[in-house]
Amino acid sequence: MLLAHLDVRRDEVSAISDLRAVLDAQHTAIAEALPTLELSDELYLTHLAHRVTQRADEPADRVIRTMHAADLYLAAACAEGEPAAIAVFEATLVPPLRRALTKLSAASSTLDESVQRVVIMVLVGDGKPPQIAGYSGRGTLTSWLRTIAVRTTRRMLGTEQSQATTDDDEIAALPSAVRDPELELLRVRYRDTVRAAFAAAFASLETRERNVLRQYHIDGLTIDQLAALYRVNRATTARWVAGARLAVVKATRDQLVTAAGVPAGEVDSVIRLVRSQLELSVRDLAV
Amino acid sequence: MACLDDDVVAAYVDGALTVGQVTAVETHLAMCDTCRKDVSALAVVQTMSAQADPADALELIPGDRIGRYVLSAERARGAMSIVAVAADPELGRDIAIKVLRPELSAHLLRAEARVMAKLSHPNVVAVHDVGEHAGRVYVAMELVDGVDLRRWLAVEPRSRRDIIAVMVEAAKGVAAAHDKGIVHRDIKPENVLCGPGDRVRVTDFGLASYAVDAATGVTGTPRYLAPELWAGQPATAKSDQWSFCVTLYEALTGKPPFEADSVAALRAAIERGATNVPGQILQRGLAKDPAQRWASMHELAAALSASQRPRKTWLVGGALALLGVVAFFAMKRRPENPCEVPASLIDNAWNRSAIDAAFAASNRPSAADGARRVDENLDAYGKKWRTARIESCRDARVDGTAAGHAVYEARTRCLDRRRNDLEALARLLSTAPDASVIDHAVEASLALPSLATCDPTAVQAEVIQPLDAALQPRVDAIDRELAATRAMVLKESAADEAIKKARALVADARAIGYSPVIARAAKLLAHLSTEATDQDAAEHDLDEALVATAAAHDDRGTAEVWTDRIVFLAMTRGAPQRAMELAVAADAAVVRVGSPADLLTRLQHARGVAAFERDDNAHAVTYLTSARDHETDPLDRAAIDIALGSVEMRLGHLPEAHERMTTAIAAMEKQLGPQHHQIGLALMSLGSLESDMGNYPAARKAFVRSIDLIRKGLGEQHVAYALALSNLGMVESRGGDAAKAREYLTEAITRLGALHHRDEYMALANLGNLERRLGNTDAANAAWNRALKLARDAHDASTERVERALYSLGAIASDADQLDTAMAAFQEALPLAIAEHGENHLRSIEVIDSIGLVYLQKDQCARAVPFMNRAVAASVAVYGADDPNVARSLSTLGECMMKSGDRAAIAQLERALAIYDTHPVLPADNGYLHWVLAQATWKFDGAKGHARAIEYATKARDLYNADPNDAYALGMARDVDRWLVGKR
Repeated sequence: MLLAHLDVRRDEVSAISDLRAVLDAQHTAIAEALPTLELSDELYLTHLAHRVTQRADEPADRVIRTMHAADLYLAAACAEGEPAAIAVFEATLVPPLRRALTKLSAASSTLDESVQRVVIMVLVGDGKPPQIAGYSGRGTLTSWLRTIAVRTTRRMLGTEQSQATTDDDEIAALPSAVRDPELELLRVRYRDTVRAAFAAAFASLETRERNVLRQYHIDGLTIDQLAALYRVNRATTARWVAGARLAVVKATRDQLVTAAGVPAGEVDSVIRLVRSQLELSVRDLAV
Repeated sequence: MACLDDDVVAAYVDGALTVGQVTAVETHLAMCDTCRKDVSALAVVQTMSAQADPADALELIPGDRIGRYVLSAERARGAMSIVAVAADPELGRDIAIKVLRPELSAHLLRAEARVMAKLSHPNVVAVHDVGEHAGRVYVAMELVDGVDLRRWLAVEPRSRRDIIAVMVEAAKGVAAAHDKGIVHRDIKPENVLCGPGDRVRVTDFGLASYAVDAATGVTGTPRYLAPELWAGQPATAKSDQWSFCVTLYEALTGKPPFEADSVAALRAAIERGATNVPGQILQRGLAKDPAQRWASMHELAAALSASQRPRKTWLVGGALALLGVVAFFAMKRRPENPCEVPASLIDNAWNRSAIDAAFAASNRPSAADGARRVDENLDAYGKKWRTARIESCRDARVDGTAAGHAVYEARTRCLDRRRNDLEALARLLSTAPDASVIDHAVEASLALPSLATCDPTAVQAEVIQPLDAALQPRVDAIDRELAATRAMVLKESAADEAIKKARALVADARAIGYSPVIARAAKLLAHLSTEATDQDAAEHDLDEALVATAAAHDDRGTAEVWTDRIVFLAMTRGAPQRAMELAVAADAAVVRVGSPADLLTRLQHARGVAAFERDDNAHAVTYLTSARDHETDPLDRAAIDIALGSVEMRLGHLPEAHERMTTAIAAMEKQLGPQHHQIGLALMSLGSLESDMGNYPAARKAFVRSIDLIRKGLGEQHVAYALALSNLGMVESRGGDAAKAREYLTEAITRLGALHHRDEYMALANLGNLERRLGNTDAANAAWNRALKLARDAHDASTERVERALYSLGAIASDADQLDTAMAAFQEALPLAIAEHGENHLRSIEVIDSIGLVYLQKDQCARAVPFMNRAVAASVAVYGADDPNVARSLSTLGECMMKSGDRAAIAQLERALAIYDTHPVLPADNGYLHWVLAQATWKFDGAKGHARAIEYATKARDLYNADPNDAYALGMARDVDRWLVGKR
């Protein structure tokens, strides 16, 4: 049946031996999740086939088996403008969305406006085709919607701009926590050297280490939030942060000694400075 | 670069992507701030609903900042707080940081902690700072590397004496806080920190204050809580005192005074009160009524301290003697700075595996460890050499002139000589390492000539007098020989040969006639000479070297020789007076070459030791502290610390001295390994300190280890061995094996006498005291008379030593009932004691007391009374009015007054009785007081006093009988008994 809706990848799909059983299970799941809707197999299979076509970089078998079937069905029905589906969407997905967004802004007017905008974008389209058609079924519909909402809200609040890297040398401009005159001198003397060494050291980190450091220091994620995001134990993320920090300090030290030729007698003091201002240094690095 | 699709971001956050897709997303995130922030925002939103208990969420990660502090490691996570170690970048020190649970009331807590921050006391963990982090209060505290009392008690069995010593210190800390109005609220073994060394500190003042326990409804730890707190009253200094006494009780007896299965039962037990509490101190401290407890922690501390004050005996401090020996081995230092030059240039000078192999073949037990340390040290020297070499060429390039180039050439030649030194040492270590070489190798590897000898100012001599190229090969040959000779001394059997060789090289150098090389040879000869046995020859060689360096315009060399000379005089020759006089000239020479740190610290160190030897403590502290501040080498710093610790010991700062010395010894062990004789030397000072503190087992342990290390490392002919014998004899004579003590001391006296060492006095003094204790009057007299003669004849006569000898001779005579001899000696000692210490000093009190007692024995009470009164007044000044020492003097005063018919005697005796009533006291002392009271009451109060007199006498007899080992007291008990029989 599904094959009838496919123009491509037909061989791949027909090779799935238990395709029938998988689709039956998905049908049952949809029926249980959306009891108020009148189901159309045709609608589901059309959209499923579309996702298989769309997600060409994944094995068809994986696309089908991991499909969030009920979410896809609801999205498909909404995209078709089915009033019952839209009602379900508005009743079950929108209120939690608003609650979730309170983390981003305290002003309820902003939130209301943001949610309204998201709903219009997703269901109506506002000139463009409604975005709901773009839901791939990879993640949950809740996450997908939340992603759009968070991004929309952030754009609305203009959070990006404020994060733009300033031209000020933050390390130099900092009302230094360190009042040791000797360090003060080092700080001025090696400002550019340290910045270059730090940038080089940071660049030498693994991608994930760089991301984690930035998320921890700049984005202010907690260890628990990092753990949830990366789906690992909090001890693991804690270790990541510490390890990445250690690595960057060590690499900076190496850079200072080997490339910049900072005397051994001074390098420890400079490193002390780097360590105490690591947060600022990470922030200082524009992507 | 286009941002990630919403759908991809959602799937990423949901964890629904394949590994390849995840990598692609994360690579994008690393380059795109916007998307990364989107993801972060999603992570925040997503976890918001699933938020766990925020109280547990605080994660302290190394590198995090709390206030201005940078965390390095979490140490402990308790119910109330998390403790971590952090660095304070501003002050460059490590601290402990305690982050408290949010429910601890921030406002009140901070007010209290701020007061704490103003309290600085050696027995209180210092609070540096208080602040807030992530909504929690944190307290930044001094980082203490000790263990809490509970652990301290658990790791090894502790003597009652040690426990009380710790608790006295803790009590002082609590008392100091009480003085500032701070109540601890949670005193318990966990909050008393012991160590490092003997330092004791109380921590966590007021931190428990506001954490009300749900189970008990009160704050603090139930087992230690005073009864009034259970009744809901606020915490006070008196309730702290209760908690302190519960802790003390538990420490002494091994179990808490109140135990129960439930909180309710515990409360009931505490409110019932403790039974069978041992000793008056605890009985009072654990009184149910706060008003019945000690008036303050000060009083409690004093009582506790008095409970273990030893009977006054004169301890002869062997450490006084030892500094010289420790410092004798003072090392040389070198500065640093890096760059680039082929490492092979210096690395080729030595071969690590050859040294390792030679050591391994030797079968010496410490060989493997020694080889490793030697390798490390040579490697470090090589690195510094390379640095100096690079710096030298950089300087020349910057300078660019011909003169600059001449300096560069001279420095390079100088560095070549240092390379020769390294090579010669390495060759010796890898080809012929006999036992003495292996044992001294580490030290030698640390003592390679300082590279500061090749600083621009240091090589002036050669710049001024460029060498004729034709002579270059001959000079180079001599320089190589000099290096080989310097290394040679390492071999014990070759020490004399090395001096001979150096002497020959001086002659060779003179034959060439090039003054810089003559100066170098003469300098080495003098240096080697100062460490040899012929001290007169050393003085001569030093003079010659000064002339040679002056002739060569070698200012640096002159300064080196001057420094060697002061070190020699102060630490080897034992001539502190001359050292101090000549130090001015040495100082001038060192200043002239710009006060290089390596010379300056050696010189200050030597001056400090000289000042110490001359009993000039103030200058000793000044010089040693200055040396310490400039010293960069950990080994030398440790040697200075041992000297400083000895000064502190003499000034009575025993815990500080102990901490300093133990830390220094640990540093030495780290540098030299545990088997090195230098550690043996340092242990002599520590042992003396332990014995001063009354820890004889610890002292004995230190001395035994010390003599073993010294015998192995330096041999029995060395002066240090004689001093070690003296110390071991001293400690053995105190409760150890008397026969052994005599043997050790006698041998020490012979050896020290042969060396004309001034500490022959100490050994004689200890022998004299031993013989006196054993009742051998003649032997005691002989030893002390010889000591007296030494003290009087000494080049730098010491009033204190003469006075002590006179006092001891007086005491011996008085023991033997030779009262006139005794009186003459004491009368001669008294003005000396007063001149030395003033009247209000325990030494003076001893003499005054003794004069009074001799008059008493001679039945000249009218003469005795003025001395007794002086003794009482001085004791009050020294110990305070309410002190058992005062009571002891009052007892004898009372006896004298009674015997001269003065009924005011009873008032004085009752004063003594009142002191003894509130203090722990030796039964024999108390017996004596009661005995005198009995006689006085009988005499002055007539018939109505008879009953009371008999009561006193009965008590006196029982007290005298208390110690079956005290023969004198048992004899007194019989006297009292006889008196009682007569009166009934």
